[in-house]
Amino acid sequence: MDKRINLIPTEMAVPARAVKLAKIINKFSTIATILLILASVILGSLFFYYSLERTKIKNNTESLISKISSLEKSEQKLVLAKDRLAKIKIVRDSKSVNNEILRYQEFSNIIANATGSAITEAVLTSKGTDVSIIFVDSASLSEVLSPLSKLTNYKKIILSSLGFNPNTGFLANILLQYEY
Amino acid sequence: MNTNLKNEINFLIKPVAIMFVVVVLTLTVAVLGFNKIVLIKSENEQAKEKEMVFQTKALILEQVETVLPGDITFLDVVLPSRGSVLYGLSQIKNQAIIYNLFLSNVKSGTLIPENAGVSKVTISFEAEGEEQNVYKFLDSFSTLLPLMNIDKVSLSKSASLVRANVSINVFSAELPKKIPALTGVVNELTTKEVALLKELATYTLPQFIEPQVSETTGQKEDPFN
Repeated sequence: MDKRINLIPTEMAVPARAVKLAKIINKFSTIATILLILASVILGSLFFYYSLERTKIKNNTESLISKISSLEKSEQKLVLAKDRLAKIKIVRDSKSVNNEILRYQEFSNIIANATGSAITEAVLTSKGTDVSIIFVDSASLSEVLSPLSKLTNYKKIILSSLGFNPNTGFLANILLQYEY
Repeated sequence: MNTNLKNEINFLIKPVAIMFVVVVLTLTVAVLGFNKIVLIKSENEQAKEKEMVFQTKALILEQVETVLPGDITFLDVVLPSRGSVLYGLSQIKNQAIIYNLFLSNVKSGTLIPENAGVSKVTISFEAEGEEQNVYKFLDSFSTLLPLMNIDKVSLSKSASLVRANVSINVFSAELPKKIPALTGVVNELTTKEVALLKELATYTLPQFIEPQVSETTGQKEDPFN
């Protein structure tokens, strides 16, 4: 049977609580070392993974840049088309009487088909159409007003003035207002 | 008592020092490493976003030839960068010939800047002819190139003819001076824009008569002899 003999003088002997504390500290150090190794391995792996990913992205980006450079003519074409189309939209959205001609023609045909009435003057602007019509008698006036009231092309049809001259007949001024 | 304490300190100093070094090292590695990883990750995300932008741009540019096949220089006639008045006058005269109208008092104004780099010139004229032809003539301007807007029309009747006093705006716009930077974003054409492009392609282009070479076969006199 082994016997442990302590030859250290008692005044030099380390107290038991110090030994216990040293053991705890050593355990703590061991755990910290394991954590250090683990952290190093994990962080090192992540660094390696992200570095690889970065290289891959960099290579892809460079190849895309050279591809875009080779498509410069297409880009010019697209930029020109986009620029022109944006400005064309501005022009097309600006007010005009381009679309009012056919509508006015329909109105004019009603007057032309009625007996004893004629358009003397018409002014078409983006705000509306101002028409001067002459009617030889009240019968022709009522003949025209009836189909005009059924016209749905205009927002409003305003009889702005109506005069009578015994020599020429009735002179009416009609304002045709557009939908917008 | 002092000797005991001294012994204790001497005994514990080494493990405490080791623990201190290990803890400091662990914390340093963890904090620095974590920060570095976060930084790389965020850099990668930014690079990925950039890559996506380039990928989209390359894809859009690859499709340009499919969406915009052939030559699109006709867009410079739709909205000319210069010479819009000449194009406009040419169209007015050509349409007057087609609809058998008599043109007079043709005048053009000065260039007036409008919105977003678009400018307009007003051309005024009088056209006289049969009523239905005058309407057809005026209606034709909605499908003529360059784009023209009828600003005002005064119609007056005399006998069987109609006289139209017309003001037309002809538009022009400067060409883009530069293309976006390589890293710049380009937007593809929207469905509406493609439809508009197709519609514009059906409009009537201005026609200019090219002067023909004289076909006289007789030999010219030598001016140096």
